[in-house]
Amino acid sequence: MRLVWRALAALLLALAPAAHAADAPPQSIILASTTSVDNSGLLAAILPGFTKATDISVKVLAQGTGQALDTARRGDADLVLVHDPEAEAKFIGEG
Amino acid sequence: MTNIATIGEAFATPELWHIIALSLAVSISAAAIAAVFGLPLGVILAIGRFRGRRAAIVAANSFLGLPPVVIGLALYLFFSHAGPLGFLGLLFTPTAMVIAQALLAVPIVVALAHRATEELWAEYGDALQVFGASKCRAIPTLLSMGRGPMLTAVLAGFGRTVSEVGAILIVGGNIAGYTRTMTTAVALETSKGNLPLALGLGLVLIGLSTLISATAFALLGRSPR
Repeated sequence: MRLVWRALAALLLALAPAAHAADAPPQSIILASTTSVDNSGLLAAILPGFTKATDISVKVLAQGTGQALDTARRGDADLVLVHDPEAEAKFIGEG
Repeated sequence: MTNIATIGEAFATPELWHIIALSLAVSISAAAIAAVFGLPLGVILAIGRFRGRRAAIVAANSFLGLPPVVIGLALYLFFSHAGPLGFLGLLFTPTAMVIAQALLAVPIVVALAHRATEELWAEYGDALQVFGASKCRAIPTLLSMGRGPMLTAVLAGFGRTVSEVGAILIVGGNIAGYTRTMTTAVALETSKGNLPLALGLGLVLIGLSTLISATAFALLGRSPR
């Protein structure tokens, strides 16, 4: 029975963001990174501390390096964290 | 055996409940939107006589096989901050996922509703018109008469949305705790080599979609035609 209630609560929670988005947008930023960074557990270790300290939640996009940089280039991510010095230099060189 | 323990642990987390709830919320909303637009459109295409009708029917049927990744990519370019609809801020949100899946499901609902209505109209069209129903007024009657096939049309649309992964992966971004659904989680866990968890999630997905189809037929109160 408790399981059913939890499932219902989760369903309501899932539907809630759509309703909330219209009001004050919750403080969150998008971080484009790579799958290996995400899988390493680094983000899972440091992001909760960041969110606790700043009240800003971080949505992590785990993509390929090229896609992560392109997402940032298009302005669709607020932060980008990759590990390919050459591609990064090119990205910064482009402005 | 440890694998089974890990699956058990994963299934007990609130994140998993969120994934399941979001999957159902997105795919059911998308199928519902597709039904609202697709069913009347299918009926109109079957009974109406207007310019461009044949082209619309051919389009609906050829869009049955619309590749989800391509729709996802196209919407990504539209919803991106650098794109024409970027100001809406929809990229990487559940709303964008619903839009993508609704677009994929509409042709399926239209094509099947059109087919079902064509048969009904051939059989009962004259009778309906004798009783003075205008073609416009006949739409609800036809939807109700063909509710079995219409439900099948909507469920086929739902089948498309609930199983879809390519489009929502691109427009949703598979963000943990926000836009991660069962299908994108299965893809992710498979890529991590976490096959037992991926398989477990897949079985839950199949079970839930079967349950929803069965419930829909039960609510309709009769077996499908």
